[in-house]
Amino acid sequence: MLAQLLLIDDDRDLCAMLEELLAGEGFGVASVHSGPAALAHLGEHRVDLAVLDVMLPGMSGFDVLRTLRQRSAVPVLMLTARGEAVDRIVGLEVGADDYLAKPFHPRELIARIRAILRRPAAGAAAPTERLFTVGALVLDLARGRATVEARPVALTGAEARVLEELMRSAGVVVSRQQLCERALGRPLEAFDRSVDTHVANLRRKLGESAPEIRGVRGAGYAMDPGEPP
Amino acid sequence: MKSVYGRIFLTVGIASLLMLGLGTAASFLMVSQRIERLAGHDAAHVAAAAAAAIDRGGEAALRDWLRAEDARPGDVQPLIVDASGTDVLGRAVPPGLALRTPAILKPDPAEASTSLYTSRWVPQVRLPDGRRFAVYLVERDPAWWDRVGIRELPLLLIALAILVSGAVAGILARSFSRPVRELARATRSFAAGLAAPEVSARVIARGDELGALARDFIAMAGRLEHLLKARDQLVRDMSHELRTPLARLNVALELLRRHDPDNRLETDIARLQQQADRLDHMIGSILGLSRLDAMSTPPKFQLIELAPFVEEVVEDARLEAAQRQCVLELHDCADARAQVYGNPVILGSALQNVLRNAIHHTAEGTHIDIRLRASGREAAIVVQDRGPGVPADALEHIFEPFTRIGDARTRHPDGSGLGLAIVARAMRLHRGSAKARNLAAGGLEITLTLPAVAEGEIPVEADYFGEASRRLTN
Repeated sequence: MLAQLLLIDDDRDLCAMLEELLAGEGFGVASVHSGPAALAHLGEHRVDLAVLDVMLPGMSGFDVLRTLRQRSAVPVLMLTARGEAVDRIVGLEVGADDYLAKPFHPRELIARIRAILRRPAAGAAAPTERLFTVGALVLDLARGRATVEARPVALTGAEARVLEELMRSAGVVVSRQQLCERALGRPLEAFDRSVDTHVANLRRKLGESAPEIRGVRGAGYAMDPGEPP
Repeated sequence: MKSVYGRIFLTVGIASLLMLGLGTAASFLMVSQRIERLAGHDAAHVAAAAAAAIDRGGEAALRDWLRAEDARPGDVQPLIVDASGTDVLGRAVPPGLALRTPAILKPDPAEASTSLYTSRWVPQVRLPDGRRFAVYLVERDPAWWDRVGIRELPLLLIALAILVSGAVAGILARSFSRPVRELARATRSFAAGLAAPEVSARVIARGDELGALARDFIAMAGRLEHLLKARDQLVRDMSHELRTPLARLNVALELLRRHDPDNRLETDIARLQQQADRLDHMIGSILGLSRLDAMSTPPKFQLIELAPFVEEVVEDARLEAAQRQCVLELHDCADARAQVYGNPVILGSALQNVLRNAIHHTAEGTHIDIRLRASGREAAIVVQDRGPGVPADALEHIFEPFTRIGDARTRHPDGSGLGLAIVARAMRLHRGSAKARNLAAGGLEITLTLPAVAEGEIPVEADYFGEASRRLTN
């Protein structure tokens, strides 16, 4: 079945060209040009991935994402303004799965889309490995949620995958490169802080009672294995 | 008084009148009482009485007579002074009189040879042995100002003039120099950072020309700031707008590639792509720069432990360094513990730009040295590359936008010419500085200096970082 993409961008010319390009890559593509239209479309159609521009007239991309996240975990690739580091961080915090600075290279866009779409399939192959427990923290990939001392914690797809990698290797340092490749599906780039942003979000969301995620300078991140269960 | 002109005119005028008045009063005081007290007394009569005593019984009779005179009450007493300036009874002689007496007592061919005679307008007496004495009438208990002679009067008046005019000039100068100094300081700080000038309300409220100057200056600064903001906004808006066609161009190029399965247009497409990339990079840098310049919302500042922060940014840049086969060497900076107060995103991008610059310019396969220095109130990040360096005359310009050094354009087509300008703005925003110098061994050294923050201290500044600081401390 064709993966269904939704382009949310007010630049109609760009959308038209992207539709042509992405259709050529074997995706089903639809495009909308405003926040409310995007939310309406997402409510009515199956969408496997949304490409969301931050700069939308009226309702901003962040607002769309925030509203969307209240009811759907559909993967979202954010298009941020070049050089706006804050946009990237806010985007990932609000729940974007990845971001790409606009203007982008179309090949890069296609690679990111494929990386995000590929992710859930990796875990689906081994259903037994979809439940992880470290200390008070339980990650249920099948249901796409985590609990800390039975308190449910809402995670975005990217956050869940970063957490999965850390829990899979609890007590061992996972490098930022590994985290980026395995959890975000793409190689780490120079000055790329998305892994760190996801980890920071995880720490904040999981709270004090969850096992600590330690940063190891120059090496990566490690989850404290805590008491053996 | 409302104007500087009036103020100077009035003050100087009043001071002159004051000096004139005080001088006149002093002179009057010194002279008039003396004249009043001596009025009605006649030295010639006294001298006649003294001469009569001498005629009666010589020096002994003169002394007896003088003692009797001395014992008599009254404002005035006679002094009988010899050529050495000494009174017959050894009483105090005013210094002026003592000095004058020898000249007065010089023998005069015209004088009478009696015991009483007058020479040089002064009545004098002569003892039978020929010793001469001048007869004076003086006040018995002179006030201190009466002791001051005619000779000292000008000195006194000059001292008075210096004192009065000095005090008045001091007060006057102070009342002008303080606001002028304040304005000068505000002008300097405005020129350096274009921060809203701080001029105290006292100066602004002045009714004179200086107050008007201060108000005009503030108005001018506001207008200038507004213009600069508008300019930055224009650049920003233009850059934002340029990104829309650029995004389309990128996609169109990719579509063109798809429509050219035989790769006949490959070279041309690559050329187009290269130019599009360059445009993209420049726009990104312009946006970064103008954002630092405009900073309509104050950046969120926090305490940053410098060593791990630098380590992290350097770590990030290793990937890029590896592409040029050069190595980033972060020298042990564990002992250089320093905290700075700043925005990690902005500081990080500044350091990134310095590192990128070094990576681009250092000779392939060489080391780039990064050191951290902390000394008291300052922390510095020093980055040394092993490239060609920069011509001495261009050193001070490399932090300006779009400065191209030598053949830099041909070597680094992806350089926007804004990287180091962003560095300079970012450092200025943090009250630090960026400096460059050529190394003797070849290569460029860039030093980023930041004010260090002592342990546990959060600076709360009353300038345009104020809001950020307050937010942080709340």
